[in-house]
Amino acid sequence: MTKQKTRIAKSFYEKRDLPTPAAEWWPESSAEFIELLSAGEDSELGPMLILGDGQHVRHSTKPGSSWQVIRTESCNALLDFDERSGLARVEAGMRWKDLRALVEERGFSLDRYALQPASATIGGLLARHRIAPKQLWSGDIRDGCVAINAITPSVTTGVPYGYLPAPRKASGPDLRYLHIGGEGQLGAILDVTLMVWPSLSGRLYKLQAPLAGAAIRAWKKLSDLGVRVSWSYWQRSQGALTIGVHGPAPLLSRLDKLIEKSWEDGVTIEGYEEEQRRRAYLEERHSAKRTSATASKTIEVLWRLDQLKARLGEVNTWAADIELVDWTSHTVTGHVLLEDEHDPEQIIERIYPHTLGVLPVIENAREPISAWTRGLKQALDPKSLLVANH
Amino acid sequence: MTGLTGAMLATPSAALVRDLAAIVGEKHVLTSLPDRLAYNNDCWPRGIILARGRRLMPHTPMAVVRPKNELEVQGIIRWARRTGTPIVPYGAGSGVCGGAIDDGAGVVVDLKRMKQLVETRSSDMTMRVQSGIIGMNMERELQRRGLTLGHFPSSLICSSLGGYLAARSAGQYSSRYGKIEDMVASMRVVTGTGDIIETSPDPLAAVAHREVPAGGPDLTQLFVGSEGTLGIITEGTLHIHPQPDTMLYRGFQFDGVGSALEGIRLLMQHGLRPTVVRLYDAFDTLIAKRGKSDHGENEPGAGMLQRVGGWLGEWAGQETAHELRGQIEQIARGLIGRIVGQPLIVNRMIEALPDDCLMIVGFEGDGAAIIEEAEYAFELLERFGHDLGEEPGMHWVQNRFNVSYKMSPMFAAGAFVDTMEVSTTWENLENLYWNVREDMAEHALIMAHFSHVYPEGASIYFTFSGWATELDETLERYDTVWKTGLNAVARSGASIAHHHGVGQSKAPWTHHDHLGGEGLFDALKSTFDPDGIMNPGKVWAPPIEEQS
Repeated sequence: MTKQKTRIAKSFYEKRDLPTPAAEWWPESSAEFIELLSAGEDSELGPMLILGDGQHVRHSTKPGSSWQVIRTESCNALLDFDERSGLARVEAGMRWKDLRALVEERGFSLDRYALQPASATIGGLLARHRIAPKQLWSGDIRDGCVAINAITPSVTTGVPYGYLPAPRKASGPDLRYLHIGGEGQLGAILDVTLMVWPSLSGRLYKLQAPLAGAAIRAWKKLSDLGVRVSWSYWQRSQGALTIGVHGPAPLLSRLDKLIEKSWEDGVTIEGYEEEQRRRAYLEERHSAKRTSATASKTIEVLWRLDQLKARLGEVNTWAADIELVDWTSHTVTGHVLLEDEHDPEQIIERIYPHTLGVLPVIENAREPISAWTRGLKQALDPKSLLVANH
Repeated sequence: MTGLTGAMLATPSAALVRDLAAIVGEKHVLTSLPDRLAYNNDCWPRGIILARGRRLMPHTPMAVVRPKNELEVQGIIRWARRTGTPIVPYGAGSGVCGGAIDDGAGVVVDLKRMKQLVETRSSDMTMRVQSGIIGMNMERELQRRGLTLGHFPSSLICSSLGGYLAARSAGQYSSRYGKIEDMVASMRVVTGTGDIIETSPDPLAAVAHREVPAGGPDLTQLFVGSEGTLGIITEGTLHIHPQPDTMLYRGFQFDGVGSALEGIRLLMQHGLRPTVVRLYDAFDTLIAKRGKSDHGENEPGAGMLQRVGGWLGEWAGQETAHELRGQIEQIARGLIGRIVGQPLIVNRMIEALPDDCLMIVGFEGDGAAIIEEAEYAFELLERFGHDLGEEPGMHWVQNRFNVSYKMSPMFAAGAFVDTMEVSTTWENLENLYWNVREDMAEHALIMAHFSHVYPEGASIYFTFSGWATELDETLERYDTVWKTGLNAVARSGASIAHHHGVGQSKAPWTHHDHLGGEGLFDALKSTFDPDGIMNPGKVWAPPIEEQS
């Protein structure tokens, strides 16, 4: 039977600006997780919030004293590793940095994924709501997810839903997406099959770009050259667009020459080791975390790439700092740090019409609910065992 | 039953005609027998067998209605809810799984009048387009603007965007641009409740025009592949690309499927992105070489027939008199039955063929990096096979849309031909290939190619043909072949569908890809199609064993 913690580490919740729950449940395997949710159907449990590392919870209902939490971090086993197919199946509570270490031990890597918060759990990264849909080859973890197993409270048989691990199926709707981006409101992701990559080689290119306009030009130039970027990062206070690129060593050597020729003195090229070190640093101090020291003053914005320069022109005049990450051919995600005197809600209200979407890292507003959301909730969690974010 | 008369078909009521005419106009409500018969089948081979045997009744709709815009679609669905009438969305009718056929009591909604490319935004490389547009027309218009979607199914000239989205279509360039579900950013859908929704706020619109949803499911990926069972897709927003300026193609020959697949696997896992990878197994290679033209994916078995005739033609000589050639064609047709009627023997003979396999690989793109990438890839492949140079690759490029419509003689000869596209991981790929071959060998002549490859696995495209003397026997054999094939796929732990969708033919096997997923699908149905009027019987059906 799943352990219930009687002593709850209040600091965990305080750091994340969340209320302390009445109870914490710590399943140690997927089987225990299923058992817990199945038991919940017949008991007085609930409403329950499923928490990985709790960095991206958009939970604003501030539930009363009865609310309970299921912590997934003990469900962190590596269940299968298919070297030939480059697939790792892990329980959802596995942390990103732990998965990185596990695959590296086996001569593989997570190199081609975009920057992720190091302490985030795999289940949490997938369950997190995103503004934009996934994009092919963008390093989005949703794009690298090949299969999941998940459980919904409405399932009385105790048999979880399993999406077959096979590439790009055409067998009806992708039912995984009831859980991916679902924030644990309709069920829980139990385990995930992710693509991993043979460790080949890597480069860190630092392209001088003191202003966002220069970063945008650099990004477009990379695109024109056909450079396939694994991750990307620009910070106003640093003045450089930093990108990680991975691939076979001979191809990267040729790429070095191409980049040097195109940028002349405006580029610094570092090897794989430095790229790994830089990535680890950025993932440790990822801005989009509730535990970040500046979380309450940080908003996450999705901009269209072609409008970025104009939009930043305005934001630059009042933002304390700006980071631009996850550059794609169409969009850029910004983490905008506000000055102390700014009210995030007011800023969001102001800039929202000029973005594709804005979310504060720590959200307080309630969200509207659509009829279809209600319908799915009723069908899959009829007793509202899981907390709803509305 | 071997005939058909108009009297045998139910007549649409005057109320039905009047109600629908009030929505779309009288001219766009088709109820004549020829019109209805035209929608009796999509390209499902089972339907073709039935049609050849004049068994047209089971799938002839009550009416066909042709809306011109989203509001008319909404009107039709609201009417269908009121009257409890099943609705079957229909694009170009190129589906091969019976996904767009009615069961005799419903109304087919033909979307081809909704064919506008609404907007291309080269500033953010997206387009908005209505779902009824034919793929070739859409691509032509994009190319006129220096753009491409990168979606090139070999059915491009006879398939629609709505069909691609509804059935999770793949094109020949999938290893670079992905499948349609990778290209779509958002869709507009009229659900079975009659509501119009955007599956995600147009993520690349100039101005955010709706609150970000409260989290929860990404409806885009839930409606892509839903095959009209949740609603009708009226419009899509998709990512587009500049037209590439560089094309680098090669042919490679390998000693066997195994070594070729190993080369492809490394290529993909090294992070390379070839535009095209097509590997033909030994028999498919033999036919491709003899025909000197690629058989597109919608030309299943037509190649077989042509080549049987071709071999006889070669044997008789090129100068043979016209009359004699006619006789030879007759003999060829007779031979088809003999060949595909003895599949086990022929399959065993095929297994004795040399294992040589042909592969076409191509890179397209802009910039210097694509040349470097292609050179690296060709060097890598040379470790596993023999470089045949540019000619086979360019030959494929030039003939890739040579989709012929020569299946009719095959069906006329009492034979059938069909395809099964399945996918699995690299670890399981050869296991799948041999399991399916072994199990189907006694029922059908079978060959295969591998034309959609990914870092984690690939799809296999099986083409098979069978024959029987009478209609019922042909149908029985056809059903047996499919059942045997899909059971072999499921037993092998592979996916039952890669890009043709599920339709009616594979619905009893969907649960293999979504273990324990019936409750989830039911939840979607109860939410978006509470009256069960949207394309009933498609996508999900009880397993065959339970049906019997």
